[in-house]
Amino acid sequence: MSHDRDPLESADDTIIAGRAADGDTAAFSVLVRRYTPMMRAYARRILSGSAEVDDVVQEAFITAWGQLPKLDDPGRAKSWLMRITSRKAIDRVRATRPQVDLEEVVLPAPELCAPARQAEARAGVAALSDALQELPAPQRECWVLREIGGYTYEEISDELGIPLSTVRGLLARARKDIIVRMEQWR
Amino acid sequence: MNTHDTPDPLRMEPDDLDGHTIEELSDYLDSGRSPADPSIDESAGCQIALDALERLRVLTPELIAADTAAESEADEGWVQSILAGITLDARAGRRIPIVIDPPGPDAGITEGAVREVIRAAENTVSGVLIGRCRFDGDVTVPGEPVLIRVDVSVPYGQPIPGLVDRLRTEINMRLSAHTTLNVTGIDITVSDLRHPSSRTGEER
Amino acid sequence: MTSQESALAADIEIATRAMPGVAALFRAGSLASNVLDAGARAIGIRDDSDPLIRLEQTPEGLRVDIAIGVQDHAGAVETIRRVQAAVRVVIEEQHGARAEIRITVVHINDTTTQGGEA
Repeated sequence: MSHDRDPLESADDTIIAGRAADGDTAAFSVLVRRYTPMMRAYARRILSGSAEVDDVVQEAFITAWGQLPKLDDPGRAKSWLMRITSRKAIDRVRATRPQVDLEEVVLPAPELCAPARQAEARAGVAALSDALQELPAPQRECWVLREIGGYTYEEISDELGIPLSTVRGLLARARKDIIVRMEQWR
Repeated sequence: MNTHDTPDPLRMEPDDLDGHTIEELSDYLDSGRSPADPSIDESAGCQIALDALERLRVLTPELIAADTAAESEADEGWVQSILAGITLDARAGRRIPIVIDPPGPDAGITEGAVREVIRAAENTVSGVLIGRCRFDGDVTVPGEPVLIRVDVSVPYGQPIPGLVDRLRTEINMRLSAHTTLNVTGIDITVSDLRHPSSRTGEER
Repeated sequence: MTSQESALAADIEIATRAMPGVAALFRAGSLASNVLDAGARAIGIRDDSDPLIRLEQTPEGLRVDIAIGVQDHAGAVETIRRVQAAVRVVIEEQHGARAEIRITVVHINDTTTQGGEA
């Protein structure tokens, strides 16, 4: 079945999410096709391994179906779906990770792990991607929720269950560590 | 290698930032560098660090786009596995009474069915897609005035008032045939103008 | 359900399905277990000992609960009138009983899609 000719496929989120909220599974399928890659990418940045990405995104969509009727503005479906995704991903992370003393988490000095890379020119997005992957999980999660998820500091505090001051510290450290690595590679 | 005699702003320690912390600079950037803080603005070390933070900020949407592009599309199996997990109930909504003269039965129609009625109106107005339907007013009380609100997508290039009028007439007709709602108005909001989708070779 | 009630339920079902405009019969009694949306087919496993028509003895007497899908072109209001008339004949003349009749339309058949059958 070709989806391209289906007018539903090209309708905007307000229409699609509105129909899905009213029970139209065809419209919901459009939403799934439209946002699966974005949600997979987001989940992958939050989770350390890729094994659970599909589970998390599926759970997010199933939850979204149930909650859609309560979404006041169907036009906001995209950011709403992202919120559900990060919530599901964080739930996974917290379930499988033993409590870590976040103040103790110290990034190894970049000089120690960078030598092999210094010879390579790493620019832009690739450098950022690598730098992110090397962050300790709590810093990476804060950064992803803030910069990709658009969370406020308070929302990150709620989501991760850590004090606001810790969020600030982790974010600042994350930015510093990313920049130090990226500038090292320039 | 760096010596610690010369401040290196990209080590991002307070020594390198004229006493400021990276947290302060992050906040300063987040607030759009206002209200202006001369001790930051006049510090070369801070400016270098702020520039680096700014570069990072610019890269972020590019990262999101690259990450998304690197993910595979949802295939039919994926969509089906999600549909298998959702429950189709609870979209029925409330039972809307249908008033039939006595000795009539206790008659009613579900909100879900009425939404189907309204959505089917799009079949007679070519190219129109109906989004969300809302009922303003207590539909469970017979005779209660009800305002119908509908989001609509129309194809680009067609005169909108004509389409909207036809749609309104059609919805009105259908509501009369399928309900005894006291409809005081049908509010149609055009929320989407669609460009004609390109045809593919494959027939459905 | 007594055999009398089973027979009544069966006759009501036959009369209901025979009415012009009735596209399908669904399991009555709970709105939540019956919804279709515009693209889906009804999925049901029919257990003959568990009729779709629901009969309930209330303090006021017998109540009959019917859930139907209606053909778009027939109109829900008209179809309900017809079903009610036919079902009343079944109850009062065929079975010599009295009952309150409750009819709920749970689905409208969009003529461009396949309807559900139960």
